[in-house]
Amino acid sequence: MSSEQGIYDSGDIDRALGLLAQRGLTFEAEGALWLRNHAVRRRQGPGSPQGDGTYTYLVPDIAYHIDKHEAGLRPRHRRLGCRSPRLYPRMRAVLEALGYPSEFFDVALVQLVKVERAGEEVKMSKRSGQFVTLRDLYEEVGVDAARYFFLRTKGETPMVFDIDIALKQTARNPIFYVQMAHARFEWNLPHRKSRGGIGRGRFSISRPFQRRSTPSCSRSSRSFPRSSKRRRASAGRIGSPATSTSSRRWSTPGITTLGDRRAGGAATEHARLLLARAARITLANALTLLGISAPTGCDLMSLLVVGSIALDSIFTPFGETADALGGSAVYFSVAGSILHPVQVVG
Amino acid sequence: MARASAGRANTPTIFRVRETLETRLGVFADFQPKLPEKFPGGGIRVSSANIDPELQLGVFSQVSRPKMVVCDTMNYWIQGKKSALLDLLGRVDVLMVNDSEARELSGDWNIHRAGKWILGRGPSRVVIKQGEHGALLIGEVGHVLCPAFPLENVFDPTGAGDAFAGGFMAHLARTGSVSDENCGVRWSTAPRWGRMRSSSFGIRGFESVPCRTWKSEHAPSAT
Repeated sequence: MSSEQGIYDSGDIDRALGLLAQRGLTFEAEGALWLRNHAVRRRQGPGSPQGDGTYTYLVPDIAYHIDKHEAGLRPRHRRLGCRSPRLYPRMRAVLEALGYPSEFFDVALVQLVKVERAGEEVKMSKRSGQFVTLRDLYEEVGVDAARYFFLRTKGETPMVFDIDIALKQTARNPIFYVQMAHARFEWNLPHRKSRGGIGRGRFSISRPFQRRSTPSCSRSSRSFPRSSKRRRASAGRIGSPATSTSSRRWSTPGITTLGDRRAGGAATEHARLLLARAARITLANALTLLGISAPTGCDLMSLLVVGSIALDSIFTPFGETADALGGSAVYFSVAGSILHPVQVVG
Repeated sequence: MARASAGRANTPTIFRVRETLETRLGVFADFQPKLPEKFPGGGIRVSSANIDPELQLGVFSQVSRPKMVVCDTMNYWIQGKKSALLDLLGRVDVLMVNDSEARELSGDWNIHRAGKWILGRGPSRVVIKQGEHGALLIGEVGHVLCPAFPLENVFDPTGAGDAFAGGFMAHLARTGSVSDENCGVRWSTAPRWGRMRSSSFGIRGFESVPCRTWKSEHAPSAT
């Protein structure tokens, strides 16, 4: 950590200016000190000292980086606030002009985030100490949703975080949509397989799904490394191919039409199921890369019932039974567990 | 075993469509349900009819951020602890009752007005089970009526309402959405579980149903 005042007090400013002058990168004109345009590839550079004798904000930053470079600081990726977007290209140009490697100043800009609730911006103020922290967002919308929304937008792009959308359980909420798609893949594929192997069930995938999924899966293999190289784990870039594979065509009734099966035959159906499996893997990989859970149907929504577990003795006009397993929790869970795991407290 | 007197004498004659001779709370008189400390948040929470409304409130306070809270009740609590029950209604998303309970709770014979009365007390949806006449879902989606599943031989309707609720809620959980639209779509399949329950004694009615068959018939669709 370095303070700006510390840089001034340490004499690093004078040393930095001396180094710039030694390299011939500065000149004096109109009573000010300027960086040479050709050296920094900028039409106009900041000068020092100005009329009031102070340095421009660029100078302490230059001094700081020179000091760190001389101290042997290794190049590293940093995220800086968007105080002035023009500052960073100038900084990079100056440091390159000094002969430093370009990766020494590897910076990603981070813009401000506005939080909206019920269509209105949640007011934040440094002066009054009112903030919406990441922890607040995590608690309100969950880690997965918060992470997805932040990754979906590039850091240098101003972002509006709409809490209402993040909480929606419809296709309008992209993270719900993607996780739901994975859960459905997860649920369907093992089930179809258990019915006698892929290709023997009456399940098939519609052709539009096939057309959409094939390029998506192949694109993802290219987009993942590209995103990694750019250090932009943008959900929009990584997630979009996977998202398209999870199009609602998978889950619409059309996927089980007999027409598809008749047209395709067992071999085609087999290929489509393999494609569906590839799409699920793609989706799972994309979510894993984003640090977002890839839920199964059971994980997505748990079902808990609190009720009685009892032995019923029943007499009706049609018969009678004694000590039969019953109770509200039992009836509820036995019926519900056909479709979804049910947890019981009784 | 704890015993409680019947609510028969307190029930207005006009709402008395069936008679409860005696209600024994049994173990529920002292039942204090406690959930594991690390129970995950989210999901659907359903509380049974037999439990004291005050205890149901205690259960709901133990879970964090549930996506949907559903409760059931019965005439015993409507007559004995109505104020606590009304407090409970303010904390739940769905109330599942049968027609006589809805009438008794609201004091209105008309089932639609009774449903709206309940909605005015807090729940966003109310499910009114009407036995062989099907069931009614009242909420922001409006009134959605679904018929009962035809059954020629009814052996024992005990727990049919619970099985109905189980099928409906499990379907919502499996599709991952508790939205109004999804409730309306899933609604039509719920009576089948009630039918399974009523077609034999105990839980044996479910044994004859291959799970895969049901899952296959109810594959998740778009939300």
